[in-house]
Amino acid sequence: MEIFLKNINKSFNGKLLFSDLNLSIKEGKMHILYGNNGSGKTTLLRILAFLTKPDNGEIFYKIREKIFKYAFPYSIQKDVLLNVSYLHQKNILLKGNVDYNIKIGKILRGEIFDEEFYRLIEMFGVFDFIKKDINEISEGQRRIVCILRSLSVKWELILLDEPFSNLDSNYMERLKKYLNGEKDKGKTIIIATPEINLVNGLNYDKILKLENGKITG
Amino acid sequence: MREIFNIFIVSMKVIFISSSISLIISFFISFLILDKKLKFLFLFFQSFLFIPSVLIGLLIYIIFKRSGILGFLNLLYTSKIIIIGETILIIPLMVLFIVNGIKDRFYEIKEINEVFCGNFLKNLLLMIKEFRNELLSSFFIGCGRVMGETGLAMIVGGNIKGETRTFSTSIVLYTMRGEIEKSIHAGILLFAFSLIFNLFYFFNSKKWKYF
Repeated sequence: MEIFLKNINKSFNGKLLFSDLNLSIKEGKMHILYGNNGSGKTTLLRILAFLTKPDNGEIFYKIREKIFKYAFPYSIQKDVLLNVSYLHQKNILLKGNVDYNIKIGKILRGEIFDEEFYRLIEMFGVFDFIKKDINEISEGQRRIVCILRSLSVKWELILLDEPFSNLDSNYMERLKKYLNGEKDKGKTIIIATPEINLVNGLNYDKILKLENGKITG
Repeated sequence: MREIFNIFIVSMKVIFISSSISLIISFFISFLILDKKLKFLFLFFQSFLFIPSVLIGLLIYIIFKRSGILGFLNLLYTSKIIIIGETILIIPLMVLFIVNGIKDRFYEIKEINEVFCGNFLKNLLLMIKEFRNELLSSFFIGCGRVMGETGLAMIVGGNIKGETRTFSTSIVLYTMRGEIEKSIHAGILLFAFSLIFNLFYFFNSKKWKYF
């Protein structure tokens, strides 16, 4: 999936986050969105995932030669959203066990649980605690459950908001290996991080530095 | 004994039916308030929270009396009209309770549904599953409120033996008649049931975990 952002503006409580933000993201590329706390990384990812509306500007999503325009009044483009996956910065988990929380993404989308899904679960080694209640696992394990929920659905573009927070080196390596593999398959990946050291080991193409409402780098 | 049993049956019927209907209506109202961010609707229900039940009873009486707008339904002095009245009475209480109980997590769950393209029905089912404890707690709160309510049940029900006599209305009648012993019996039962509802509420809301 390719994305083009054209003159995107967004302000919060009078504070300007982006002014005339222009960005082009090519298909099959991995981009790192880097910036300090409050620089607007999460907001930009949320705009791309249709969770936050920009004040003005346009976004174009190109999926298999078809272009979808996201412009005022910014209604959700379901055809686009079905090809996008998003990981919240905060671990949002539902009441129930780990298994239910990983599967809920596919359940909501009405997707089937194929071999690929079980391979993904196995790769991250969550079978050991898959039947545990969500309140009985550690913060790092909760993070990996959220990540697996986002990775398990069908996607062409994934927006990961600080995916490495609370992860131990073991999970981090597995995640990086998996994302590198998905990139090689031609999928588009955008990762937001406040710590540039955390992305070592990823085959990323570009670092987009978000600073004073503009993207540099 | 037979009389007490009849009172028990009428009371339970009124409590469970009105609380169940109220729960369904209140959940949809709460969902609407939070989903569409209708602050004024929340304030509207909040303003109805402190209206005395006798006033609602009076309003229902005027509407359902023989010459009233809905008088042709002949519902006055039946248990059905008490159920209608109690349902109206506890909706504001339940709405406030549900909205305050779920508002912090509501938008997170809604976002999960949006991100994964769930439809309206899936969103609704997800919310019910996620907030089942809060909904059940509001149900018990409603039960407790209906159980202790007297004024409305007296006005629209008429306190008819075996038909519309509840625990609270029977206590009023027995006390006025000077049958203090009967009144105490009904009072003990009323207290026992309110205690049971309170225990259900307490353990369901998991507050005991903090002690």
